[in-house]
Amino acid sequence: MIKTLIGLRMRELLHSLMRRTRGGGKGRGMKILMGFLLVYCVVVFGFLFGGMFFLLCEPFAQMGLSWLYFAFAGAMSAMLCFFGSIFYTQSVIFEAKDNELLLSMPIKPAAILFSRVGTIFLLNLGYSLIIAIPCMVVWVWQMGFDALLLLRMIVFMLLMPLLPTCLSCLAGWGIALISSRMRSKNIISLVLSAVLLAAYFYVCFNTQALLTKLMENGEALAAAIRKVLPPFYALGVATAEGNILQSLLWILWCVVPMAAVYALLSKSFVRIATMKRGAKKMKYKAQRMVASSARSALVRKELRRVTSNAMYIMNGAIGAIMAVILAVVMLFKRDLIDTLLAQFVMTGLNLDGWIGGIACAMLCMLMSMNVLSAPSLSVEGKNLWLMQSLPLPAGEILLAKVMMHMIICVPCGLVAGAVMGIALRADAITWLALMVLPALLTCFMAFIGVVINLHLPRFDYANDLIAVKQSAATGITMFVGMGIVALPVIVYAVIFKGKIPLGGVYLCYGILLALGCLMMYYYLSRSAQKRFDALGQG
Amino acid sequence: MLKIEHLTKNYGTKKAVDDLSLRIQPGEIFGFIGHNGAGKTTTLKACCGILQFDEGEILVDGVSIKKDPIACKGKIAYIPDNPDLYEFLTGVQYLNFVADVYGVSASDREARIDRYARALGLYDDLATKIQAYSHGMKQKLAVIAALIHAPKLLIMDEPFVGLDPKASHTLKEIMREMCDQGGAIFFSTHVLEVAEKLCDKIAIIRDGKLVIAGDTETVRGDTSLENVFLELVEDDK
Repeated sequence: MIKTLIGLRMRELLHSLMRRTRGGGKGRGMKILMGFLLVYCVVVFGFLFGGMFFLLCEPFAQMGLSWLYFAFAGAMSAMLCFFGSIFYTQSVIFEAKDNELLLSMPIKPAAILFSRVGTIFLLNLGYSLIIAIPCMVVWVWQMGFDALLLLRMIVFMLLMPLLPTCLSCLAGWGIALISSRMRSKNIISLVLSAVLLAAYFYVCFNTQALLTKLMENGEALAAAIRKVLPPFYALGVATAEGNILQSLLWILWCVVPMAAVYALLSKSFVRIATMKRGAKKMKYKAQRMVASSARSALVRKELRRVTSNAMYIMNGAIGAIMAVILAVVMLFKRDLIDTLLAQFVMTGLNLDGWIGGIACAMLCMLMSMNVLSAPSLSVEGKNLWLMQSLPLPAGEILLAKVMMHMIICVPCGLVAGAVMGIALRADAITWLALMVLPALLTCFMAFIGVVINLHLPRFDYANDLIAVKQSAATGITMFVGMGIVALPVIVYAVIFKGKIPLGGVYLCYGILLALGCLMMYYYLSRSAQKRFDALGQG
Repeated sequence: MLKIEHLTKNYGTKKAVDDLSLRIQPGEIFGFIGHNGAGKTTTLKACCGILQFDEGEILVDGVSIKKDPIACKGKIAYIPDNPDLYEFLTGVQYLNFVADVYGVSASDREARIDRYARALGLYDDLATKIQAYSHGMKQKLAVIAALIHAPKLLIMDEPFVGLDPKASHTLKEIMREMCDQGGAIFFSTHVLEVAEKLCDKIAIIRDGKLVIAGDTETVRGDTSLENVFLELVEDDK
């Protein structure tokens, strides 16, 4: 039974990524594309974490602190798993749409819970491999092959996801509990998401400093980790030295809390799963009504949908949020930029004259991560009939989704650009580029998201978050966004560097983006009707 | 008001609707009856321009749904069998959204919301998010939203499912009133007693094909509609 339930959950997860579009023929292409995306992510993260481990491995071994290397990898891995799975945990355990359906079947509630926790464990296992594999490769590369150590590492790392899974379950439970007692649970989710994001940024911004500290004060930090993070001390010593006591302790650290949390949750699972989550009832009082145009009604509806779901905003507008945070950090931590520049100068790379361009590319890259419009058609789901029965052309409906993306993200891009301009003491051209290019790119992303979703829709998700986070449309839009920023940067750096001034590059890029937007506007408003009408046809 | 001519809709190799022709005149309540999977919903959705069809023609007030779907949709209101509405909106926000899309003036929407919401017993709940509505409340809201732009043709798929007896009675009154004012209603139902009492005309569909259509009295003959329907199903077996 548990196997069937886990299989169901995994099929749902895979289905969201590998869905064959109606009419067939695109299944293989989609698989290749998703495979390519997967390889891309693995390579990027592999190099990111591999580079970090490369800096740490040998110095730690020379200091006789090999265990710290594995403890550090374990802690990083647990953190990644926790941040990556906390909201998935909430949606999959506490807010799953099929809880009542499954509870009505002759299945033990504990089995339902086990299947859900098992899925989170598998997801976390996937996350942990992103760190574990580079950690292993770098160790073998620098320290040589040791079969026993590798075996220990594999076994202990396989247990590791139990720890963040346990924490995610507890945190998800807490969020669900608080949300159920609060009137505006959306704000609670948004605040919690922002706190998590801030914590994530804090860690990211301080990684370099942390690595330096780790290398300079390895022993002091080792002592601190031993005291503050005993599970990871146990993992480190167990892996590096094969210490039996620490190995047992690590196993206990992983298994006991998870077993306790599982027992706790399974006791109250029925109550949690059937908790009434409907909005509070409010008595209607007659109010003066104001008529508005169909277009503004559609845009308002889109904005209400997005703002009613904290996870939609957090996942779809992450780039806009990060852009504003980055701009503020740059404004108040100007010394960080100077230090960074000084480090580049020390390595013989003089970035004078390029800062504006780099900042512009960075801001564009962040804005390309906004994918609010990409699942906007998929989230119509069961409401598709409503859109299709309205006396409006498809263009109006689709452009309202584009507008929603622009209304939310463009102001963030403009604010971030303006603040960055101040922080960098930019000249007029750079300032203009910092304001206009990210805004244009945001418009481009808004259009391309809808165009891609129109061609790759899915309306059969178990919860809204899957359409937002895991649909092919979202992944491909994000990938296209990265390409649209990275490609011109690479082409310029390789071919045109020094031949065309940056101002010219800004102008060409802006024109290309505007042309792209115009073409997609034309497509959505004139030629998308047929495809829109075909959505949801049996 | 609604003219369906030789409508054919295929799902792969299966003919969901096969050469169906019907006419619904202004002032008529037209009941559409058939077993599960007979092709009722497919026909209704095709009439609303939601579902594309393979052959035939559908004319709403003389306008082809294929050639000018927007003009047709402006005259129609559709209530599906399972009213999945925007759960993130409150009842009144949803009604305002629909009213804006159909270009209903502020005064007209105020008057219609007040009238229909009170009649159906949903008035007090209009400020509540649809997410908190029961199935019946969603059905009531869908009915009010359908009536907010005073459509010429009301198409409904199992409209009485989930409604309490009072709301059900009110809906029947509203339907009759709408038709008395020159509107037309085309709806599917499994409740044969309701069809028998309420409808001016009835059509029975089986496996996508029209079996019988005409005045309720003619279709029923000297027996009950239930007997006629069961006989037709038996014939099929």
